[in-house]
Amino acid sequence: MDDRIRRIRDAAKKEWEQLRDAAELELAKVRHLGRKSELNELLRGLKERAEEERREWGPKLQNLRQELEDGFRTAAEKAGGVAAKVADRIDVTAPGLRRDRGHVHPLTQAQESINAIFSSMGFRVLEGPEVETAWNNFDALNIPPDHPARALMDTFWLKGEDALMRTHTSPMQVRFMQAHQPPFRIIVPGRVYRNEATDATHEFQFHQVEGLMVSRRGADGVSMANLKGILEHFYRRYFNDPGIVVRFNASYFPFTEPSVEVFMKAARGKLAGRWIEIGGAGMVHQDVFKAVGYVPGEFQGFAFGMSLERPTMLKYGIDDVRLFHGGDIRFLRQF
Amino acid sequence: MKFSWKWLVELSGTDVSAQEAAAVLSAKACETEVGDDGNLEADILPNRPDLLAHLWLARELASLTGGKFRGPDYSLNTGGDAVRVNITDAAACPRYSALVVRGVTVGPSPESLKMRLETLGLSSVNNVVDVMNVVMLELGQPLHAFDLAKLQGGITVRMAAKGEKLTALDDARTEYGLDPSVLVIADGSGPVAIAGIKGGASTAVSGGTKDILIEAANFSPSVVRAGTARLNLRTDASVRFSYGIAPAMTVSALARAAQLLKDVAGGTAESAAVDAYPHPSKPVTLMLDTGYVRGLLGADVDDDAIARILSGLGFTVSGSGASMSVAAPVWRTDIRRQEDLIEEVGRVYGYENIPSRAPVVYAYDEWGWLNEDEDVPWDEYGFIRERTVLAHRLAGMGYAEVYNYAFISDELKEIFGLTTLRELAKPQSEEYRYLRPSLLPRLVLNVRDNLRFANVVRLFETGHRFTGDGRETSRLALAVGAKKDTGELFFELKGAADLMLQEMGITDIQYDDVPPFAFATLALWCAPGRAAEVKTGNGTAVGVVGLLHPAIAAKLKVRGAVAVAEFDLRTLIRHAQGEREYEPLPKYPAVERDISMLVNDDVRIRDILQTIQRADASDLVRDVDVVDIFVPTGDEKLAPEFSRHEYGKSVAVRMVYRSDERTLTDTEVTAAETAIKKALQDELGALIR
Repeated sequence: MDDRIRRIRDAAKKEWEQLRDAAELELAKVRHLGRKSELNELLRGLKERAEEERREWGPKLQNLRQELEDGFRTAAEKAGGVAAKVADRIDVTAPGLRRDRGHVHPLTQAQESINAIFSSMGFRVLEGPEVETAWNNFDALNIPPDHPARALMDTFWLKGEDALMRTHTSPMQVRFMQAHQPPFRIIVPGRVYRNEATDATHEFQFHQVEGLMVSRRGADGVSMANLKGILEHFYRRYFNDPGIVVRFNASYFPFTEPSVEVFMKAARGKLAGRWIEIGGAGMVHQDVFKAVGYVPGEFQGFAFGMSLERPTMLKYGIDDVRLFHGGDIRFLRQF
Repeated sequence: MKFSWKWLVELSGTDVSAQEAAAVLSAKACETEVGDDGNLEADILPNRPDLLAHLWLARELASLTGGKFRGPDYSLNTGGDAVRVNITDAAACPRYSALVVRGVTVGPSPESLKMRLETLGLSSVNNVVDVMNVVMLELGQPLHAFDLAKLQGGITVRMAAKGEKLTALDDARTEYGLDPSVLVIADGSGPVAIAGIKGGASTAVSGGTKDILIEAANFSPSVVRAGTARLNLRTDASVRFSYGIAPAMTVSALARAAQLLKDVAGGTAESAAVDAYPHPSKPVTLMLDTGYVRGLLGADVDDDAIARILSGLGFTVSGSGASMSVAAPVWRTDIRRQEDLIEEVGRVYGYENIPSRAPVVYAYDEWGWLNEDEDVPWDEYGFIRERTVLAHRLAGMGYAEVYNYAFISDELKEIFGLTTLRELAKPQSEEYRYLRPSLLPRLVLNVRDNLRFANVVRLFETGHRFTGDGRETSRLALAVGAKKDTGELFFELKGAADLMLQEMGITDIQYDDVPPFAFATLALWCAPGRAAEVKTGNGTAVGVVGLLHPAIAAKLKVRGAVAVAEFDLRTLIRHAQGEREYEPLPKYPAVERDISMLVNDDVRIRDILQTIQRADASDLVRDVDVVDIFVPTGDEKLAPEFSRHEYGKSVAVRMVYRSDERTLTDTEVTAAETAIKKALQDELGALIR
């Protein structure tokens, strides 16, 4: 028995002398003093022994226990912390209590950051009606009834009404300018409709963000250089990439002259290095100013339009535009 | 349109590669790609019909890349009188030129001509027809050759008469029924061609043809578009006329055709073309303010550079500074105002050379903001931001936001009992025919569909809804669906609505039984007696919360229970903006006491709360919380406290007493409590436990 006592003491001592970590010391203490330890087994077995043996070994074992406890305590104090009792430990890897999480639609989130960025540049944010007059949607924007662009737009007309589902957010240019004089700068996010067949990249209902900034005509007037500056700043902020550059290609829209296609190139991330077509823009056509009641030649400014879905798809790598309107919780859950 | 790269090089004298050409054209003229066969595919913009021709695209390319453009070396006099031409409507046909060529030998084309056509996707017919086509590809002016011997009398350009027919010059010899929306070329016998679209079989050039009449006319884009749509027939010619080509083109196209015919088919052209041109278009000359050019582009392009760019594109420039005079070349029908010239300068100068520059701005609108109360047909940022915050709040409560199509089907219209809906004239599909009058029908479908993936589904949507009176308003809709009906669904949704309204700062909300003709027709979609109208303090209805009618759920095959709610978003947000007021923090402690009672089934929680409020004469009750409602079911009804009396349910409320002037004594609280208990007994027949 003496041998066993010595062996137990030596083994424990070795550990409290060598271990420096409070948690490890605590574990070692459990090994040597815990319920399943050899010492504990000896103590438990004691009551089945003869009276004499109990009297002889009882105090020795109790002394040993005291010695071990002191040893481990001193070592733990030296290790710089009082180790948590193992019984109090939490299995931090077990799952947390489940809370049902809700989700804000990715397009709302995109909209929110776009609004915030333009708002920080002093743009007013407005939303307009989705059912429009042909005059606001077409005529005032220099698209007379005979214009081919009118046929190209694949318009949803309303039955028995002289009204349509707006094909772009540009009619808000008309509504706003009719009620305001320059200078101003606004963006108009909103839902638009085109009667076209749907596939992974085409929807009959989608969203646009319209921009309009107008000043008096002059050397300091709102220019194409400003259009480039504003868009570049916007994309840099939106994609969080200060290296983004914007390029214009010659294009045609009835309501702007000159007209351009807007491309951007990212400096980092998964979009890096390639030119991505991102919207249309140009300098507001004088015929549009005339249509809203301004004196032609007095003002100048830019307008731009971009899809909301496209940058959102680019940002998250979404490959099917129809997912946005699918209402599938398995998609929404990811945002 | 497809362009032969070889041909473009010949005409433009450019020494760049096809790839370089495509890149330059894309940036400065029109989106262009190099095809697998090395030729160019260019997407010509609607305002540049001139570029639908190899000659003019070559000219553009030469001026953009520094090539030496070789212009036309052919010309022709007008004033010929070989045929009589009568134009009935000069707006539909601004110009009709024609040239007679005698003694041609019709036969196969030389290989080089065949190749050129085939490269561009046209098949060779015979030398005469091939020349017509190749001139169209080169100059952009469609031509048509008639067999002169088969024409009877002079040419009349007129609208077709009802009932007239024309057998087309195509392989199938298709017969087209005509009407007065279609412009035709007619001879003494009737229509011989559909103007700008297709020639007729009866006057076609054939093996035995000796003398031909070549037509080079100009037709109105809208007339040709109308004809194309009416006959459902698109041709290379109709595409060009639909764009709107320059009337100046006709005679040089005839000259070019004569030159080529002489080589490939022999024959002698008359020395002068017939040219009916009632109102010759005048060259456009514009004054250009070069300061405006710099101001609009925001680029330091100087007067010399401006003049050089415009001359390079074929414009005639004189003067400088604020009074530069610029005459457009005849083929540029799109040039009408200064800004059109500025675009020319901008794209050739290079948009890539325009700097990115921050604008000079006013810190705020000079003209101020519109009055919030003004009924403008748009929403301002304040509203938009509130709506976004709302979305985040609802997401925090476990609701997922969906976006639905704004249209509903006939079936949904039927199931939800909707009438007077606005309708699309030509819907995309039957599923999306009517404009949604509420966001709920589609939201309920979303719940149904998602219950396949989850046991409980919580969704919301904000968006416009459209009513038969022509109005469009913003709505917020919520729905909760559960596979297993716990009986708590209504309260779950009401609880979410309560929390949402509280967070918005709206505290004066009441829920009432739904009266007939409540918040739109919404209440009808809910089970009878299981919907509440949501009202603000002043009684304005802002929404409805209820359980979906079982009949609707059954028709939609919803497996589970659904609670729905819809709110008028604008009313809600406007109401919220006027709310929220600071309340001083309490100076004295509050005392909480519970009252537990048994009441009859028909006593409603609101009756209890109102009775308490009325009985609180000393105004010490600060808050009343319903802490427990127990409605016994089955055997529980036999328990002594329920069976002995008429009582239907047990209710416990927690009362909070507090004074703003002093610490309440036990006696005061007890007195107030006693009065309340008495009122509950007397007025509601409650048994206080």
